[in-house]
Amino acid sequence: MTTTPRAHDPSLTVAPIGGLTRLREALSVSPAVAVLVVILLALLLPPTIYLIETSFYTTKFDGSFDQFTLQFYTELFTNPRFFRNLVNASIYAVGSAMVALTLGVLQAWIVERTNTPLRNYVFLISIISLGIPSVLYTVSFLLILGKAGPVNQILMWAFDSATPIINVYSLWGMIIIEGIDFSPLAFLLLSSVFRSNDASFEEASMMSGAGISQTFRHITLKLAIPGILALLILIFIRAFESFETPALVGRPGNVHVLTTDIYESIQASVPPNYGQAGSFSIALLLIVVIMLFWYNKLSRHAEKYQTITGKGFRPRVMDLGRWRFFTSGLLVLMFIIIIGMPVGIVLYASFLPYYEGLTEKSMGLMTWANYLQVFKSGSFKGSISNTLILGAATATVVGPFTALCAWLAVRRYRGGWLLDQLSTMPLIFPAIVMGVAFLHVFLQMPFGLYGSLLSVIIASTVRFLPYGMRYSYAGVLQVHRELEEASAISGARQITTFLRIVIPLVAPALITCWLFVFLLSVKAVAMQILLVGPNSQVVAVTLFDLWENGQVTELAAMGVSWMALMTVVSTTFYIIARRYGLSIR
Amino acid sequence: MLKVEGLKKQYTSHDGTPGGGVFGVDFEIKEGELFTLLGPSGCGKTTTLRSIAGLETPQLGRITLDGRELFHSGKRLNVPMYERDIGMVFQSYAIWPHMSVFENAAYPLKVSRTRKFSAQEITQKVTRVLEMVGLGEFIRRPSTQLSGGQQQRLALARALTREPQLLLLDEPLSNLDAQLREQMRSELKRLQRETGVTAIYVTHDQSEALAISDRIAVMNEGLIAQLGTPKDIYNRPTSEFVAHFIGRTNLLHGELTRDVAPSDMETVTTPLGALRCFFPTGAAPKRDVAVVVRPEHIELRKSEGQSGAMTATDNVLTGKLASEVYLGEIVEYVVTATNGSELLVRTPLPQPVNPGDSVTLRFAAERTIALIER
Repeated sequence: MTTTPRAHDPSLTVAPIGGLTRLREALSVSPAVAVLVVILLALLLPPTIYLIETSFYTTKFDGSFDQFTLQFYTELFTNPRFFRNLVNASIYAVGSAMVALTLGVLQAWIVERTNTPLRNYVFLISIISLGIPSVLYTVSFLLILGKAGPVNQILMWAFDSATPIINVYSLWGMIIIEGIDFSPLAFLLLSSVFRSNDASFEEASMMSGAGISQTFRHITLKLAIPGILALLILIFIRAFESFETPALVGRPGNVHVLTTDIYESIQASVPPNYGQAGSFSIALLLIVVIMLFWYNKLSRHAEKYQTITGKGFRPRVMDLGRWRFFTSGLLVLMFIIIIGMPVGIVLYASFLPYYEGLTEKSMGLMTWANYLQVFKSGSFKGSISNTLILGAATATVVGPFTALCAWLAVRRYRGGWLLDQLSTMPLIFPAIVMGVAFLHVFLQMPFGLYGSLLSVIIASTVRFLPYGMRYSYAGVLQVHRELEEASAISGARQITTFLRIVIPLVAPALITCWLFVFLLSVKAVAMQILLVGPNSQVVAVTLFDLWENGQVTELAAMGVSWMALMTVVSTTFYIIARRYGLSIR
Repeated sequence: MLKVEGLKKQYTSHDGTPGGGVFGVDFEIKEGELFTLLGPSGCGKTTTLRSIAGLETPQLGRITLDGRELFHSGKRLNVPMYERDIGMVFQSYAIWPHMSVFENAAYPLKVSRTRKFSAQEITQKVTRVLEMVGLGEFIRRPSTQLSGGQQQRLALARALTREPQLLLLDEPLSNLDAQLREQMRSELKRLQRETGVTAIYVTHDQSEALAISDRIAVMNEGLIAQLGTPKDIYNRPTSEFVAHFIGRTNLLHGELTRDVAPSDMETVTTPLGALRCFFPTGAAPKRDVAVVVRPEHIELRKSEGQSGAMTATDNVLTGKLASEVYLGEIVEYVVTATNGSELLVRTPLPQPVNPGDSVTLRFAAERTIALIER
């Protein structure tokens, strides 16, 4: 049987693809993605460009750019100050990372791998510490370790000295305070490292004859090292670019780092030396970018050692026997150091008319005056309401925006990967650098944007996009593609699927995201301090100013009031989250 | 070699409701034997194994290895797992990713507290055991480069390096694909024979258990349902559970009207007629006796007119052929019996019958097992 070849129907043939068409296809993005990309670029490009320009142009009084010059970069390299502060920053960063890591490893191991009583309350520490403004936290330790503080009082009594023994306004003071401040973060990240170890690794070791400590040394620790190293770098980066502690602790002790230099170029110089701020900022940014690159490589290597077998194996819990009461005591001690003492001393200070050490006399002076002032003063109340608006607005914009970007990225819409990259980009900007960048944007813009609450909200939104993205991305990943496909097959259009299937399923992640972005955005001060004006005071900056003015007791009262408010917010969310079966873990 | 007495461990969930566990397990294993714990998920086989290893602590019981007591609930004696001299192969292999193949296998010798091994001794022993499992070329490689089957061999090598008194294997083949599984199965048996190590094997796969074991303990709901050689378990199941769990089987219910002594033959009246059955355990007259016969023990022929009758040695039934399924090496016939129930017949040779034909089934009385227990 033979078949005659049929004539081809022209409509069935495919035209060969020309080069131009290929190019167009590769560059194509879906319309939704395009819109979001444009929005992101509008938010990210101006500050970036202005930041670069600041370092290459001299600035006129009104903030506009004057002449092109390389002087700020030549000054940078010839200025011994720059290198000295670079060294300071490095020592400070390494030191605090080590302190945070030690505390974090200890807590994480006790909580995740032993049967110590009370260990489940440690997560509470992390949540509470999120509600404490950074300035307040640093100030509390300055009070504890300061000249008139309880530590010096005890030491002076012990060594029979008339002068204070320790001086907290030093590099080591910065290291200890920042280290303790970061330990909840270290604990959270390390506990997930310890939790995801397959029990059978250690069981195999013990079945091979190795005892508990041998197993810990040869297996547990070695497997955790890549994760720990990655964490070390992360904390190093965060400490390197941190501002609050160096500003409050370092400057009075004449210890400077890059971030405080940038701040002083603008706030402490007349006229503000924008050019220097710019060149220092670029230098800091480049260093951070390199370290972030290194960190990414290391954490990808660390992921290889983590095994989540999916068979529901939990890590083996060590029975410490009688030692578990000792470790329980350690946990209580750490709670006291990380939360108890700071909150305690601030509480104490808030009731005094002027600060002094704890004596019988000082107890008699206690008064509600500071709190009355907080609740009566219009400016305080204004500060609080501004901050609430700032936090709520930032969280409400960041949440849904990143949810949409995450969905488009996870579902592989054309160009979606761009959204992921762009919304994570703000991470490379240290907070103070972002402040410098946005400062210029708002100075140059009409509408009197500079110093307004709106400007702070815009900058805050950009800054916390990456954090929102992280939660949204994880949340969308958990919604299996097939759930949406089933909706489509059932006849629903894309919008309907998004509203009726995706949003409800992503809601838990969105709620957590909202809470964290809210808390983070009201806690920080480094960026806000350069942008706020008299009408847009926020709590963190107010606290900073109060400290600079020596108004310790008012600071304490305001801080405590704010902390109480934040605790209510966090606790409410925690309860809601528990009811809906979420976990802050 | 190993004696387990009165092992009991009850799990309770968070809110206090009792979960599964082991409720009284006794057995003894001879030196050099490959002993299998077989059963469905949740039957307690893994709990039993892990109790012997020392990874779990039972509530009651006694475990003795080569005369040495490892666990005694009454004396509150519990030797820690790292002092029991037992090698274990984990279901997930648990190969340490930060060590090479050599280092993984050498680990038990390196951490030994009872004897110090010199570097030369270690190299010698480890190389030998790695070659024995077929990983001789991979000695210096990072362990992360091994495939699933190779990791499994490494896990075995590691367990055998210090020549333990007992080897425990926790479903070692369940993560491998079908072909590799059969290959590794015979490898394991061969290695066990060569080294002569006493081994306990845990699995839910009954064909695996039948293939490699010297003796099998079939477990169900925390108790041993039957203990015996593969032949015993397969041909002489003592309970319905064992009969169903091992291989395919046909099951009928009937009535016994006379006393029977153990291992004796007697007639059971079933809805399909009187059947002459073998009674592994003795029994008194009973209303509900289960009768099982393996599908491959039934001979199927087209009915030649007269309906057959029970003979002294064989049982005969008639029915109608419902379906025929050709499986390559075997043909499966489903026959509808006179009371509507279905019987399964398996034979390697296709018969000249068609669905709808009348067929005669013939099977030996000796192979018709009557069971008293559920």
